[in-house]
Amino acid sequence: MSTSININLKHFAYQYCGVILAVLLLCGQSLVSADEYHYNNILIGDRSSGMGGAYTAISEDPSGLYYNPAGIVYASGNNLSGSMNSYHNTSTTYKDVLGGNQDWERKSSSILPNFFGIIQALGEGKLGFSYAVTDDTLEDQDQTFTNILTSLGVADTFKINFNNQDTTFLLGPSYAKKIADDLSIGITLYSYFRDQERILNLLLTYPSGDYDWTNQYLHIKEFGLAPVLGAMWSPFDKVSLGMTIRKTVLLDSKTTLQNICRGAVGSSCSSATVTESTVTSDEKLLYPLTMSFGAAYFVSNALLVSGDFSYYFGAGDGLSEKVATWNMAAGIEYYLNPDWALRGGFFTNNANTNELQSGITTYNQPEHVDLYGGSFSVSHFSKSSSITLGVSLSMGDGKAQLISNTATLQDTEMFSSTIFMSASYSY
Amino acid sequence: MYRHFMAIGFIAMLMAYATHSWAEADSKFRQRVHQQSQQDYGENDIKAEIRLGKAISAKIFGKYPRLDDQELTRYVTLVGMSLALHGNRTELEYHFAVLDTDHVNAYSAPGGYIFVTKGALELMKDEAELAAVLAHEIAHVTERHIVKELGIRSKDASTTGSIGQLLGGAGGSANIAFSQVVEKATQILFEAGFHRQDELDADRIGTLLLATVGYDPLSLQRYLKKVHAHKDEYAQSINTTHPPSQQRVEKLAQLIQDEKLNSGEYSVAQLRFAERVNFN
Amino acid sequence: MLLKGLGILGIWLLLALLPVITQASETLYVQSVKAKLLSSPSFQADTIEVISKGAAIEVVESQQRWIKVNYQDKSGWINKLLVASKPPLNKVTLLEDQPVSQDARRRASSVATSAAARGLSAEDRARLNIKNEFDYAALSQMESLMIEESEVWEFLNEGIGK
Repeated sequence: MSTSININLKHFAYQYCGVILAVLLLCGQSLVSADEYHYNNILIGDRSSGMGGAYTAISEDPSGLYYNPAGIVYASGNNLSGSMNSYHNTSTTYKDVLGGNQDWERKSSSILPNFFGIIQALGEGKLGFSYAVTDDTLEDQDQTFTNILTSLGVADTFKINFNNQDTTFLLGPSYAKKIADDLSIGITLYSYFRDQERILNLLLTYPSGDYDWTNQYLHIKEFGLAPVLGAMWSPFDKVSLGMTIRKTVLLDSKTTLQNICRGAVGSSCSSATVTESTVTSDEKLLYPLTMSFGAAYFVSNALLVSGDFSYYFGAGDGLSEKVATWNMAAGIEYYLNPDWALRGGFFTNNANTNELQSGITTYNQPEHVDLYGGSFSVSHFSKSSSITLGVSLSMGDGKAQLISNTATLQDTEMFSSTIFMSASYSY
Repeated sequence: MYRHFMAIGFIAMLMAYATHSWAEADSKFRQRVHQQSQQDYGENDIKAEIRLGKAISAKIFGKYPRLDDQELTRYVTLVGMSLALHGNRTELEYHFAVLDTDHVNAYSAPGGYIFVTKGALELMKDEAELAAVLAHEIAHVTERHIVKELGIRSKDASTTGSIGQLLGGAGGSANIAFSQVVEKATQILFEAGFHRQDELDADRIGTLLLATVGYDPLSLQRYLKKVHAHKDEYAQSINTTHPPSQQRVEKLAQLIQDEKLNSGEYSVAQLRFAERVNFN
Repeated sequence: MLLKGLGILGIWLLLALLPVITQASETLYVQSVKAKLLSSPSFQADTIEVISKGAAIEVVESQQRWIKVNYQDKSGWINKLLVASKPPLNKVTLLEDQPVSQDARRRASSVATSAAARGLSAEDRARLNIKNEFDYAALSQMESLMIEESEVWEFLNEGIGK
């Protein structure tokens, strides 16, 4: 059943890649969903999402359970709850990759409730509980191309059926307490869950009657802990500074990769009859230590400005290496009147990979696309609750090296949009 | 070029913040506009308060019967309303009544219902002392001591509120039965008493109200000393429900000195009091 | 590139100005029926003017119990107890303020219906008198005494003479 733990699954997958094709998402780095290269894919929370996620120095409501638990001591009222639902879309376009001149686009679209949290007073501090979906991909593509140039000649048809679901979510309690007049600390003990299931089916048919067929099934299940430790300090009136440290540590991981193929003449799938092989692994990925710093200026009771900076250390090595990177966010909240408020923000979503090098015999480099985004939301308040409607967009371009064992780079564009609706309620 | 602009701008901002005089942090800067207005008391909240006040008043009457003296009640009401018009909650209809008991005490219920006992009236010697006691009770109402202690508010019946409840997943908010709230309030009035600070605040604000209207601001202190000296059992109820007279008298002395209330001309309307208040 | 740089510079400068922009002066409203504008922060001071309920005044200086304000074209001191940051409300009353006598239990009045909707009808209240816990009849009598504001002012001036 399971082979040596030291097998690097991605390396294994390369051997089974149909080299014929210009596009193979199952090759090498595409074994991971594009989302694993970024840390800031989905903004979490009611108020924070409108402000670009620049929330480390604010965090005074259920959204704070994710951003900086130390902030929840400043939550007003004894009991609070918050929730968020989003419609999340991403699209990644690899240019001129099919037959040398056609674009390949990967699209993901999902509707999900991606945050829920409650805060309650407990003793001298505050107790909280929340769950957050930090990543969600749902790709579902069925396409047929005709007359595609491959290394074995022109193919009649090229069919792809691709289904990829990858969800990461956090769930756990929080506790925070004031340790001095203007200083508080807090901790959120999240359990980390990730489940990815990917099915890829490729078929190439040739005028001669020959055909090449590959079917790949991948299932990754991860479980771990993702604690967040936070502190918040108010050195002056109207100013708040926040800091957090967080890291995901996997306790259990199970990966299954199953390959079935039947090769055409000259294909890298050497068997002319259907063959199957399955590999499993318990290897646990390493996730980086992340430190975030935030500053917020409560200019008046109607205007709030805030900025965040996060640094992600490097982690792992080889093909699953994550390179150190950083992100920044800035947000503003403005009340038009006691019933309506507007929020806006900017944020970055940088890749945790190296910039690709071209013209050198460097193969199989993971893609590198840095994204920049903005968000905007409108909130309506009533006596005990508020509802928010907002949108967040991010885009960027970079490079990818999709074709395994070749040096060519492809221009890559990414675009992501989220429409969200959230509510908070105090009782 | 671009970097120069960034640098200039960043340094300008740092300079501005470094030279700005930063105040020490107070806890209120985080409050946003909607939270402030959430804390404001709207018409529906006041209606909820009046509803509660009526029930508490009925309970007070259940314990001590109402003294049915039209003239006396009218007189007490006139004194009380003179004070209430100078208070900061003029949206309430204040009502006054005398309780037929020899116990020396006065009560107030949310919504503007003020009571003073026959025993207390017998201990007073002029109108200023009556005004002092009524001013203290009115202060409990204007400062919303019971309303704040019991969290009396109207419910959020708005659409946003309903959606928020639905999405927020928090279904039933704590719905305390009305009768329980009435119980708690009467317990405060008859047994436990208000918080010490609330009582001292009522003393202070009551005295300032007297000064604003023109009654002798020293009268509350005078009256308290009399009650303290009055050793019989009927005066005991004041001592269980209020802070020790000693402390109250001391605090009032401090206030009188701070605001120089012992100089200037004030009225006590002794004659009028003697005419209207006699139980013989 | 230049435009982007100027834009960023503009943002930094705006941030720099934030602490200054938001120093606005406060407006307060008189809550009591009448409030005296005094010449100095003391109860013995002379009255400059008598201001009515609802008037807006602008804060110039703030002390522990007194504030210096501008009202129309005059400037003086007012006691903090008499003002608040929101305009005062008009009289608030409940429907069932009508006094209910014992006979009312026979009449299906709109008062009784709405009171019933609130959970405790007048008839129920009248019945509760039996237990001696609640005396709503006495409450009705207490509420039935209404005095005109003009009579109160007359009474006050007679006794205080100010």
